[in-house]
Amino acid sequence: MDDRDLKPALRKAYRHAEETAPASELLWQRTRRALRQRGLLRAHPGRSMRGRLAAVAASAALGGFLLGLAAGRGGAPPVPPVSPAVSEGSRAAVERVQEVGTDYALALEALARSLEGATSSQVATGQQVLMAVAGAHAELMSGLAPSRLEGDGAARIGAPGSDGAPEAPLIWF
Amino acid sequence: MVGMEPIGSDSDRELAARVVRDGDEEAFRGLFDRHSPRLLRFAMRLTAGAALAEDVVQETWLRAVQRLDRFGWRSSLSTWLQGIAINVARELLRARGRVEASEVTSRAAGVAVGGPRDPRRGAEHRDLTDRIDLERALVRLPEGRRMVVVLHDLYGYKHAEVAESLGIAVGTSKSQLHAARRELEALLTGGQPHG
Repeated sequence: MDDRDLKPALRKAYRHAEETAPASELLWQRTRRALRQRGLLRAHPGRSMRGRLAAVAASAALGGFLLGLAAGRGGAPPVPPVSPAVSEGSRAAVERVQEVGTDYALALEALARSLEGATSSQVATGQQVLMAVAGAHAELMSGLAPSRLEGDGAARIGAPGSDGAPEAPLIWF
Repeated sequence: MVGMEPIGSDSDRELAARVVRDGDEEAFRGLFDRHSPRLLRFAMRLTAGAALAEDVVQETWLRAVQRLDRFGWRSSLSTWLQGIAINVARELLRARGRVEASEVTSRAAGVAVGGPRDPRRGAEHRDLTDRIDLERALVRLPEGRRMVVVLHDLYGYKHAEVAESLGIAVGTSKSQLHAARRELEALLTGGQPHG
């Protein structure tokens, strides 16, 4: 500070100058309200973003696991072999199931990645999109009802047991 | 509540990261409590009004949080907030129609503030009244001079920094500082301001 021309009165006044002023609760409340209105603060942060990511990742993992069970070969293309008795129509249905399941798992993975650094409003939007996508896929999969495939007597994983044991049921999700 | 770690020991950077990442209100409260008292005093000196100063602080925090993810931490958060506050104060003062105080305003405020003739002024109260006097004297300065003297003398800005912050020439900063000091001295000692 260039204080060559500071007179004693001014120098003393500066020396005793207050550095702070008490910020009132009212100021805090109005500041918080302004930030909330712009989506910059979450009113009641429940689960943290880290927790949300973990949940989504777990969902994706579960989806992949179930998909693997359904396909009988780990859930990834290429299509695992099925019973020779499977008709072409049923084979296509099984492939479709795998594709839909894979899409679902990929969507979850993409969402998990996109959530990183997202604001709370973006997370909410993402959740809505996820629900819509999941709902659409669920509807599509339910359209490929197991009962129809079973009706063909073919959509079963693995060949019929030669000893007459019950065939492995198609695992659905 | 999840994310309710103690905030008192967390650094500004840690708290800011939580605000950016999660919109964590508790983390923001930590930053607010830590910096607002100093920021409010700064704003009060710039604007010469408590109500307007609170507006400055609120708007400063709003802009700061909006830009927090782009803050490079090359300066302290406090310094960064001050820079935002200067711009906000200038904008609000302009919006409220406050113009550079005229000579009339300046001379009308020439009544000594707690000068030597004040009978209430005793040695035991001298420190307290000194503090009050400075704040009250600052209020009486024209806006431009007040901002220059506040930034330079009380917050250690260099003339080049003052000039850049206020959008004025370095020479103007120097002349405003000189005039402001003379006026402050007059107000504090009960003398006549020299304009």
